[in-house]
Amino acid sequence: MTLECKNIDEKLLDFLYEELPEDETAAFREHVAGCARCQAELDSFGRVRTAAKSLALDEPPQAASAKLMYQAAQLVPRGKVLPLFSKVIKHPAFAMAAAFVVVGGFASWQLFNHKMVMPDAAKVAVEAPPAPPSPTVPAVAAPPPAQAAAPEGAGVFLDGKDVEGNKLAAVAKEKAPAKAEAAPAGWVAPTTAKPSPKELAVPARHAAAKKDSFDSPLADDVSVGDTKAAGKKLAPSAPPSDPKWAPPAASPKPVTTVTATPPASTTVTRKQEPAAAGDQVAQRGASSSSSYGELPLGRDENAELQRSLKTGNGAPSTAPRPQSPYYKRADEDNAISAGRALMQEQNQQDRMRDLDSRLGGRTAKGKVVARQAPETNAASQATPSNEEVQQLQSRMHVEKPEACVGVSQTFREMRLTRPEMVTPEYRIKFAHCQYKAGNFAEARKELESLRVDAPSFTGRIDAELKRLESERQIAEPDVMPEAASTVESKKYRKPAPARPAKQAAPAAVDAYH
Amino acid sequence: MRDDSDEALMLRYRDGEVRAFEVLLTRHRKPVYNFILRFVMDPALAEDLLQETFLRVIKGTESYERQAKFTTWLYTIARNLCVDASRRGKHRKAASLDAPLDEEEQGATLLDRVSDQKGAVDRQVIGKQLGERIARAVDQLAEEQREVFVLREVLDLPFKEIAAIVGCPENTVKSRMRYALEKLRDALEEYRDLAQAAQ
Repeated sequence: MTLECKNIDEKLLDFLYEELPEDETAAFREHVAGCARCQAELDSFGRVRTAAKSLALDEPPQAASAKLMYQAAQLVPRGKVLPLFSKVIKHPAFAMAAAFVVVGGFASWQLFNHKMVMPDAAKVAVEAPPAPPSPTVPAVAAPPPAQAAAPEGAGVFLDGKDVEGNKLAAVAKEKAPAKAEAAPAGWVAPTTAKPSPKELAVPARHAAAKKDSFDSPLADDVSVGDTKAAGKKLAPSAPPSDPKWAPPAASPKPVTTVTATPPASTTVTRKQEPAAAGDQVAQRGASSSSSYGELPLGRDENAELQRSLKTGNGAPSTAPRPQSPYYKRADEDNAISAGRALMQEQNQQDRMRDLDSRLGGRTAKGKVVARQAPETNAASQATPSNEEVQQLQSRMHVEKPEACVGVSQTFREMRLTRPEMVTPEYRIKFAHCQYKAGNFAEARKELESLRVDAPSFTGRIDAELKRLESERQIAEPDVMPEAASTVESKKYRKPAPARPAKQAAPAAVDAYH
Repeated sequence: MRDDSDEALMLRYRDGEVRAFEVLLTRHRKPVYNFILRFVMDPALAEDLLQETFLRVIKGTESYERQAKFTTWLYTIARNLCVDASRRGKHRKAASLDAPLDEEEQGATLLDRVSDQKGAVDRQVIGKQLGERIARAVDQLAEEQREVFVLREVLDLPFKEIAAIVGCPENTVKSRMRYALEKLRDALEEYRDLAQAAQ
């Protein structure tokens, strides 16, 4: 091996794999051509390369490629990220911070949305577009609807309240525009957005308290379940010529028409109006109240009810009505308090229903019948005798405990939560409810305390005391007036245990003597 | 896109273009798989290592810089995985041609049992037999020689790049390659005529 061959060995692989530069390739070829050893070395490596070319390349499994493409699609980079920021986003604290931001943002959005949506809802409720006229079938003797003069937007508050007679229509007629005009921008009105049936009943009670005669403080409290009871207050019918009862022109508010539908709809299946924008809210509240009116009633009872609704007892009150305390809460921009008040109203309704079911025996017969199952109602639907009707009529002004329970509960809650809202009129009304419900002692106590607190109401207090006494004499004729205040305690007092020992003592003495 | 260089495709994939990675995978999956297969000599393990190799490419995309050649980076990853797998001893034990098949020292070897293919005249058959023979011979190479031989002969990578992949000087790579060629030449000496016939 010459020195030149040693240098050639170093370049053999480069020449074999064609990596030798051009200028050296020629010198290499020249040497190999004249050197048998280098030529043999090159040929032997050439044969190995030839044999190596027969090495077959295996095909990789396709599943591997599919998996890799899936991974590549899942982990595809979204552009280059700054190194510092990439470290930040990989830190666990970043996930916590992000979660906090998301939750906080959602909560803020909820609060913001709640505050901003409510006025819109109120606006929609007030400015609800007119719907087509009501196809409600008139009753046999349909009393004239009082919503002829109802303002725009009143239907929102009236829908579904027709079972309360025309009174609520008038209430809404007065209340709706006042609210619409007085509501400032950003006014939070949860009660407006979702009025409950009770919500309108509360101002009705306030309005009733302002009646001069105070004949029937509960006249406005003829709540949903008291339709029949109210109907049995037989009062002279309002003359048709009375402008208050004048038949309305074409009512621009179909919802109002629905509301104006007289309580005669108790026998006519009420046809639901196509839900307007703001009426859906009111229909929600109406669902519970209108259910009473759809219950099957006896024929005479129905007629009696229709007759009563034509009377003055069911006439709408035009007196200005104080606003519900819940509206004041809304004016205070306290949406939470207003929502709580709404819930309390609904809970109160539930309690009233429960109590009504429990006091079924004490309520008017028509009401009890209306709450019975259809199969058990068949016997009651038979025509009652004249004596039974008279007996019912005589009891009607006494037996309305379910309405009084609602007033009493509201009164007690209000006394605890907002005592400033407990007006003397409301206290008189509460006392009235108490003795109507048979709680003569509590009613008397309330009136006596009111006499001290509000001397200006002495006349009305005396009138109520007289009425209380007359009611008590009917209910408890054997109790002396002076002992009336303790009737309740005596009624539920445990009987004194017998003392036979004292009775036997004289006999023993006689025997001794 | 298919005409783009590996580096360009890699940059495009780094920018979010999945299609670029698909081209890369199609282009390199077969040679990489064969390199791994020649290294670990276990198809199942080779498949796993192939996936792991490209998965590391995917995960390392964001840190990829166009300073190095893509194939160098790719085969470096594959080689490291193969070395780790070899160290764990999970690769299949290569069958020795010279060692006796049984425990008896006088027993026949695998080389003895290889049928004499001199009678075969069909060139295709000769080529197939030669391929099987060289495959076994390649498997008998030392690991560092085998990897260099595969990278150079099978994958046609230049010595400079092989040196970068293996992590040793280029002359060392050439030396390993020369040893590998000499061993293969000795192993194929008796098939010299067959190899000449196959040419």
